Amino acid sequence: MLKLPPPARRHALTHRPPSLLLDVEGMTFSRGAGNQRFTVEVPALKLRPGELVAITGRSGSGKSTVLELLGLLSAPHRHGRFLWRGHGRNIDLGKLWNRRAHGALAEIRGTSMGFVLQTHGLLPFLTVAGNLALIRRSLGLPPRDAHLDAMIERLDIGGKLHKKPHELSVGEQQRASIVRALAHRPALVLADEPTSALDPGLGDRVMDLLLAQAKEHGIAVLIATHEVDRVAQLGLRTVSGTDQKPATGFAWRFAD
Amino acid sequence: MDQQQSPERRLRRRWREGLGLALQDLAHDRRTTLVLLFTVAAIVAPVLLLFGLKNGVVATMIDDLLKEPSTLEVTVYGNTRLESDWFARYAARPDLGFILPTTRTISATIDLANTDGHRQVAAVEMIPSAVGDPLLPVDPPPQPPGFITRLLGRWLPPPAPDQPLPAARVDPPAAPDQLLLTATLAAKLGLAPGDAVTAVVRRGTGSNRENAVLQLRVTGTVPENRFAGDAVFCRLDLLVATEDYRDGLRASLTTADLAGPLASARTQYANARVYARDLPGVETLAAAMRADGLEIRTQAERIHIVMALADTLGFVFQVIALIGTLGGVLALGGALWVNVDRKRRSLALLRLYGFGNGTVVLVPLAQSVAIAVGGFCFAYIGYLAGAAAFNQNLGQNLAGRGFVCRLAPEHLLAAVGITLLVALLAASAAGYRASRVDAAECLRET
Repeated sequence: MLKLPPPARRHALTHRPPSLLLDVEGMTFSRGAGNQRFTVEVPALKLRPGELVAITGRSGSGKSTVLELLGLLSAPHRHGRFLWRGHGRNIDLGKLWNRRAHGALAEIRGTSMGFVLQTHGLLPFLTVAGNLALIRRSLGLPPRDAHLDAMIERLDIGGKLHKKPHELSVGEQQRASIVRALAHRPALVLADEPTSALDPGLGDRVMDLLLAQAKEHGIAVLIATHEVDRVAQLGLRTVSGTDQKPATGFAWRFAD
Repeated sequence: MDQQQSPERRLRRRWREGLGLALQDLAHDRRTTLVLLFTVAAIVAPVLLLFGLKNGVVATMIDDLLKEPSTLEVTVYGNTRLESDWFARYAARPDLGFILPTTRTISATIDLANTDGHRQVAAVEMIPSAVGDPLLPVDPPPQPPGFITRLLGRWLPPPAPDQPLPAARVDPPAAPDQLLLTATLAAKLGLAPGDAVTAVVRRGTGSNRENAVLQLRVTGTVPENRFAGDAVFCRLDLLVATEDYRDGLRASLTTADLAGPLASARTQYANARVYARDLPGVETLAAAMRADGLEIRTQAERIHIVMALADTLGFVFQVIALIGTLGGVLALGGALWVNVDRKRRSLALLRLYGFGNGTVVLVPLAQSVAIAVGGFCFAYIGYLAGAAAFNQNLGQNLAGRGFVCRLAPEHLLAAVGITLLVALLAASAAGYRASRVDAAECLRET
């Protein structure tokens, strides 16, 4: 079998002084109007490669919106600075948004980012193995390699590879989702309430596995969650949303 | 590594990926897929059967018409004067199938006897003939299997023997001393091809009576289904020579004369044998000849009835096919449209994974094409069953003369093409809808 050379980016990660993976300043997003106007503001957010950060806030505070902005899913209304240095590239995401370069943004999202959703993060019509192979194949990676095999073993889904998602328990689905999000070795994983659908014990285990894998592979993680206690317990750097209490509508500001 | 992949390769890979995803989703969602397949089949099968029926019935009737050579004949009534440039003008017409001058009907007879003189038939009609004469049987045209037949030959219904094999080819007389006899005449005279025959041309009346006796050879017989009754087919120059002899334009006519150049070239003939190239040609040819002041007869009435039936059936088929097509677009379009709703989350996930607009739109399009192809296969199986039933039960009325229901390979190919077109049309709405699915949708749920 063809053995691919180790990716250049790992080399870059270990031998260069760490620079910022994501550098955001003065980003705002809003939708709606009048007393339904909803605004989210991120004055400054700097994320180093491999860093684990929690985005916390009450439900409805716009945590998911922050994830959408940083995951290149929603266009920010204003951005003072929006820079990306994942996978050895140096990209001004702000400029890409200004140009509405959806293709380029989707390409960065596909190659360099991974997503863990609250539930149903797998395509229902593919087996677990098919889900894992999907992005790898489209990126020209072999469907399996030692790195992925190790992860499958650690998250204990080896026996479930040939089952479809609906045949798996919620915990198994969530573990498979984590492997899927990491399978193509992204530089950043965005997780939206990854443990809220699980009972507390299972939630702890899944969170541990996610963070352990990210640490092991040098992948930065942004977790949007309302579970403040769990985040405090894990000792994660926290960016929390505070209600700005505007005269009309809703406004939240996310800062360290 | 993956970043260095060329954009074209990545694009191709993602398209192939989209195609695979579309099919895997169809397989996962078997029950819905089957319902859609049967929907397509339920629309396509009756349209195929109806077209096959229209085709089979009309083709059989037209075949029947064309099997009688007289259908294409334009008969000039009475004797007239036709110049040789008139013949040249008509020979050049695209609607003309065959044209040959002939003499006055009254002088175009001959008495025949077998060599021992025991069997005689008097005043046999002489018909001039030449290469291309529609009354003479020809070899069935060789039909090389078409591309589709070769490709799908094994799955197509076998080319049924819808026509009894045509009689063996009969060539027109090649020399003035050669004759073709009709089958009835050959029987009366007890002659077969290769036999010698004595022909007598009579002229004068009373004491002026004179005979020319010619030794001729039978080179073939014309089957009864091509010409019923007694007649001989001969070369035009022999016919002209006998007329000249009768008219006293030549002193004598002997067997020896037949060896050399026979008749002086004429510039005017009393009549003509005229055949159109095809059924529509009968009408145009007849109109032109009427305009030349000729009184003519055709089988126009019979042709008209068949053509009118063909037009009527064609119209009925068009209306039903149109309604079927419309129904197909709406049914398949609606089903695919609703399907985008059901698959919204999967499409959003694909977006989230970085798959572009192309892949996401490709999924409903590819699914639609797959459903159309599968549905068409079901429809074709249904068609085969229906056509077999029609041909077995109704075919008896045609007394083995033809097929009630049949589709040519090119018709099948056209039907596949139209089905695919309808499917793509139906899917385009769903594709547009899929293109509006936002990746962020999978984050916003709860």
